Amino acid sequence: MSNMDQDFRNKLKNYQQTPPDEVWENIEQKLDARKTSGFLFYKIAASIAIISFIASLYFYLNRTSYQYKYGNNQVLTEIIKENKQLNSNKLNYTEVSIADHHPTEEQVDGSVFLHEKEISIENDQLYNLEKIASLMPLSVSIENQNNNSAIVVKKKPQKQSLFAEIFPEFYSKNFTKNNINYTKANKNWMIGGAFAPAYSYRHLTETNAIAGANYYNNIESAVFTYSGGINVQYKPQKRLSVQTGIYYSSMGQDMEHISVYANNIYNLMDEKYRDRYISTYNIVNSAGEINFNSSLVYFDETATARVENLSDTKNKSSYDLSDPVFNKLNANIRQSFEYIEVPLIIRYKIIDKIIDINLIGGLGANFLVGNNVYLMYENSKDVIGKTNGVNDINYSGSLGFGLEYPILNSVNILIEPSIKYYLNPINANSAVESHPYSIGIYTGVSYSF
Amino acid sequence: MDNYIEIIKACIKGDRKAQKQLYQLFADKMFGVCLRYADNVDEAKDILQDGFIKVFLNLKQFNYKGSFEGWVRRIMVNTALEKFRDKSYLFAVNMEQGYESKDSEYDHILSELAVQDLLKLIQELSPQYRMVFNLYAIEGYSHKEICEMLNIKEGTSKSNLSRAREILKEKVKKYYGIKIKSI
Repeated sequence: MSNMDQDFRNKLKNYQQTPPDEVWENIEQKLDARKTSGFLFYKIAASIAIISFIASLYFYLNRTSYQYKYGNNQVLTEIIKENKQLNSNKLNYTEVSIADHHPTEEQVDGSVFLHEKEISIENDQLYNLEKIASLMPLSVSIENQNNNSAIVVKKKPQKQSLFAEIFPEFYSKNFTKNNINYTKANKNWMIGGAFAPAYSYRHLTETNAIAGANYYNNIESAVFTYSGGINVQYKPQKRLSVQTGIYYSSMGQDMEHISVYANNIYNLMDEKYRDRYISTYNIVNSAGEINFNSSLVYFDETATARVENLSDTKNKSSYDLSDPVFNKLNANIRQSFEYIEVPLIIRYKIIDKIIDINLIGGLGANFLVGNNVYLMYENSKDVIGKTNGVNDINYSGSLGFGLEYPILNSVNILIEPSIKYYLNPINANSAVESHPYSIGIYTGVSYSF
Repeated sequence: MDNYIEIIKACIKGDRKAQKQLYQLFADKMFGVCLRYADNVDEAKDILQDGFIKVFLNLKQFNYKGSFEGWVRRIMVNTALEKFRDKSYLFAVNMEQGYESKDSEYDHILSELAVQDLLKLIQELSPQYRMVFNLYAIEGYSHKEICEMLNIKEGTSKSNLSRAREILKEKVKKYYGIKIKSI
C-alpha cells in the first residue's frame, strides 16, 4: 500500500455524512409497497376461486330451477296454436303436454300434436317458451298443419361429429341407429389423458437479495420440458365441468455463465490420490443452494460469487484456469424439479359448436417427486446434486382455454394452451422468491360415458 | 453487538420504529461509503436507499456471528458494484500498463487536503478505477478478492489500481498543487 493509499484510507475509511431525509422516506415507501405486493398473487388466486365458486353456484341454481318447473327433460311440453290469428298480439295457444313421451323413441323429423288445454299467452312469453324448448333437444317452429298455423316442436338435428361430416354414408350406416344421443348432457362423466410440451421458467418477485432478480434473470434461462397425465371430468351442467386428475410435470431452469473445467491431473492420478482433487462446491442461485462434490472445477464467470469451493485442503479458487491441465467443457448446469400435480379445474364452455371452446381455470397441489441438478456436457447428463430447501408441496394456479372436437361419438380430441403459476415461492429459505411457471399446449383425448 | 440484536429482531418482525432506528444508527457511516463508490450525491442516495432495503429484507439471513456493521457495509458495497454492473460501462476501460510513481511530493499535498476534496477526486475517477481503488486502498480487499468481485483478471485489477493512483496524483497536482505550495 502506497503512502497515497494510506492518506485516502485514513481520511475516507470512516468518513461519515448525514444523508438527506428523503432517503429514509423512500425506503419507508418501498417497504410499504412490498408488504402489499407479497399478497398480490394470493389475492389473484382467491379472486379466481371466488369467481369460479359464484359462477358454478349461479349455473347450478339456474339448472335446478328449470328442473323444478319442467321436471325431467325427457317429458316434453309442446305448444300448438289453435287460432289462426298469428298477427294478433294476443295469441291463443293450446298447451299440449306429452307427458311420458320419450324423445329417444321419437321419429327424427316427426312432430307431435296433442290437444289438451287452452291457455292464453302474451307474445313476449313466446320467447320464453322457445327458450325453454331450446333447452331440450327440440326446436320450435311455426308451420301450417291441416290449415292450422301451429307451433311445432321438432327435434333438433343431431349434433354431427367431425367423423360424420367427413364420412356421412359410413357414419349413418354404422353409427346412427345404435347411437342416438340427443343431448351431450346425458353423459356426465369423461375420462381422458393429455400431454404437453412446455416452456418452463420462473418469476422472481421483488429484488431482496444482495444479488437481485435482475442479476439472476440475466444469468439463468428457461428450459423446455413436458407435462402429462390422466384426468376425470364431471359435468353437472351443460356448459360447466369440474375436473381432477393426476399429472406429472417437469419444471426447471438453466444456470449460465458458470464455466466448467475438467482437471486432467485428476485423470492422470493414481486412484488412491484422486480424492485430493475432488472439491466440495456450493452454488447459490435464485432457486436455492446446491451442494455437491466434483472432480471438475466450477468457475463463476460473473462478478458475484455464486460458486464457492468449500474444501479446506484444496487451493480453492486459486486454480489457474489458464494452466493446460484444465480443459474447459462445453457444459451446462440444469436444475430440474419434478412434480406430481393433483389439480382441481373448472371449465366453462363459451362456444358450443362442432368445435367447442372452453375457458379453463383451476388450482393444483404439486408434490415434489424429483429434485436434481444435472451437468450436461458432450452427450452425457450427470446428476451432480440437488437444490436444498425446495418445498415438498407447492400450490399452483392455472389458466387456459381449450378447443374440443368430436372424432367419434363419445370421443373428443382436445387442444389446450395453458399457463401454470406456482403461487408460493419454490424455496422458503432462498434469498430471492422464485415462482416457477410453465406454458404448455396440452393435447389429449377424452371419452364420455 | 448485543444492543443491535433486539433492534434486528424487531426489524425482522417488521417494526417500523426499529427499522428507522437501525437506519439512523448506520445511515451516516454508510452514506460515507456510498459516496465513495458513486459518481455523485444522487447516485450515492440511490445506493444507500437500495442497500438499506436489501438490509431489511435480508436481516433474517444475518447469523449474528460476525460484525453487523461489517455485514451492512458489505451489502452497501455489493449494491454499489451491482449498480455499476447494470451499467455496462464498468468494464469498458482501456488497459494501460501502470507504473508505481515514487514521487512523494503529492503525497504530502494529499495529507493537507480536506476529506471533501478527496471524495471529489475519487468520484471523478472512471467507474472501474473508482471501484478498484475503493476496494483495494480503502476497504483493504486483496487483488484476488477484487478480481472475483468485479469479474476481472488479477492483472487488470493491479493495473487499474496503479492507473487510478496516477490519475489521482495528476489531479491533485492540477487542482491543488499550486494552491497548497503557496500556503
